[in-house]
Amino acid sequence: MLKFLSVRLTTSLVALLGVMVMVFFLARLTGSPAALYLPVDATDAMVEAFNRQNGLDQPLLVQFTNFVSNALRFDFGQSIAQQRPASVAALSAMPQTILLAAISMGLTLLLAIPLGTFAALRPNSAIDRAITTFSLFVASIPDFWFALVCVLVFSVNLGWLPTSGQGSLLSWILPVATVMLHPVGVITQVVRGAMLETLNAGYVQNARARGYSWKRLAFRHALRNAALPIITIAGDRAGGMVNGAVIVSAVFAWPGIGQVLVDAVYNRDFAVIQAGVFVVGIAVILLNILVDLIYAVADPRIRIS
Amino acid sequence: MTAPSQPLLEIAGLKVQFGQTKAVRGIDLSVMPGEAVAVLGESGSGKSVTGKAIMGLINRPGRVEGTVAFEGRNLVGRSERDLAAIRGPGIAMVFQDSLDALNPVYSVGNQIMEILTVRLGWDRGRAREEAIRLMEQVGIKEAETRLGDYPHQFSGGMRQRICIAMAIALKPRLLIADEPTTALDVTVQAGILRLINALRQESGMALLFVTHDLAVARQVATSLVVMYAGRVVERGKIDEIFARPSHPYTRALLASNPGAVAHWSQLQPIAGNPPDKATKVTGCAFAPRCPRAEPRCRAEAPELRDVMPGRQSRCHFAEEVAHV
Repeated sequence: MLKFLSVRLTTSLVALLGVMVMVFFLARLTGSPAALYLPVDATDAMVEAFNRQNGLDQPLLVQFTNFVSNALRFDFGQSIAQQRPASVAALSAMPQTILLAAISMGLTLLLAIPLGTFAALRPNSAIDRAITTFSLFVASIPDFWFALVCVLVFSVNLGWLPTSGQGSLLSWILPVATVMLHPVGVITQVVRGAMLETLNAGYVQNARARGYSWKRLAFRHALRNAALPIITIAGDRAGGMVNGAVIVSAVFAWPGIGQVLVDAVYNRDFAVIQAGVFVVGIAVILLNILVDLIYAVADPRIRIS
Repeated sequence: MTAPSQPLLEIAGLKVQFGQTKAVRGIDLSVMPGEAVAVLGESGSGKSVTGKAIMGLINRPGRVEGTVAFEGRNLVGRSERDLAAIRGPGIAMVFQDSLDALNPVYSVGNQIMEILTVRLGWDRGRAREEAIRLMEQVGIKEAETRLGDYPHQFSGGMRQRICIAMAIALKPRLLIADEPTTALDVTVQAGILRLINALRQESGMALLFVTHDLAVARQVATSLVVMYAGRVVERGKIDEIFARPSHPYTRALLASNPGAVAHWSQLQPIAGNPPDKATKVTGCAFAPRCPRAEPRCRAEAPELRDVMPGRQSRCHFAEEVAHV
């Protein structure tokens, strides 16, 4: 297990390095920060001074080696726009992001697992068709459209919920609902498919021949065996949630890492873009390792091999 | 206690149909308390479906007709709740595929203990003691240390022993064994058959043993029911049927079984295939493959009838077949 984890960690870090290289050069394709921060009539001397101050006067390759050597010490440089270390700007947004992702994924599983299970218990029944239709429907709605319509109905017309930002508990409802939308639909379908298979497996029929209730058959005997595909898809979707949930930041001005990254790109704040991508990358790597550990807990055949 | 004259299990006119496929076309069968009955038939004869139908394990869209009376009460059409109460202490079942029959994500000890805690309400400590005792009873060495092992850590024969331990945990009055040794090596097979016989002698439970193997049937059962194309074609005491089969199909089975002939050169495969399950059979279902079929066999379906004391056969010429 330990060997497996160290291999997993090494390959993940190689992938992260590749991502960081790409981000470094792509960020610089957005244009020069000087053009953004200095007045239109700035003199060449002013531009030169600005570039020197932010380390942008050196050749690209020198900038890159500086970036890599500093990043290895977790120094991502200063934010031009925010006048504070880029790493602080990125990290300060992570608690909001992770909390939103955790709440959304928790509620998604609470909804999708019972729905998928009930659909699988009675294949092709009215309940199954209703649940399948619902899950395909929510998985197909464009989430930005859903978010905007929700704001229009619940915030603007009815005035029940705030339109944006993060304050009271009420301000969490629409962002959470938007982030959950697609995962609920997709995971319900995965649960249904996996449960259809395990409910018909020999060990569930055998357990039925021992006189157990349908609840015990479904939730103890079939669901645990259906866990692997469910964990896989849930881990994938959770990665998407940690990854910034850009829709939420765009529509609800949610102060998460998505918002930080979008602002940094608009501001040509290279240091913050790099720090933000790095932090998200680490979060996704940790999430993948967590998923591997959950696999091992769920299935003894993975644990004892 | 049930009077010895009253059957523990009495099946009458049992039909099982999946869409247009008639898996069981109407069978009658009875098992007395403590009796060991073998149900013999080639694959597709409906013998496994019969076992599942008795337990009420036929899922929709499968349809079950007829009566399955267990201790005088009909089980067909009963609610899942009523059936669940009978499964285990009344009728227990052992399946063919022992790997698929055990849940791969729980230890075997956990699965044996589950039966006792859920069905009998025992606490975990008492269930653990009994689980160890059951595992020892079915011949698993070092049962206490193996309690925490998972199904994939056991061999096929050991897994089947664990399935048997789970089946007898609630002391059933009838054990249905559906080809329990088919997936096992011959040496392992002999051990399982000996175990089933020993358990039966200890507990006095009745046995309905479903198999395609005449030699295996003879090792565990005293009575034999031969099935062909979803129907019973011959029924009687197993040794008497071996000595004097009264149906051409039984005779052909004996001639095709390596354990029942003196030399391999005497082996006779049965030519042809069983009839298609979707088509209606006119006349005798075995007639197209029967060496002594006559025009009457193709026109007129034979009834299951008494041909000698304690023997029934579904053949127009049963007496002649028996006296060859």
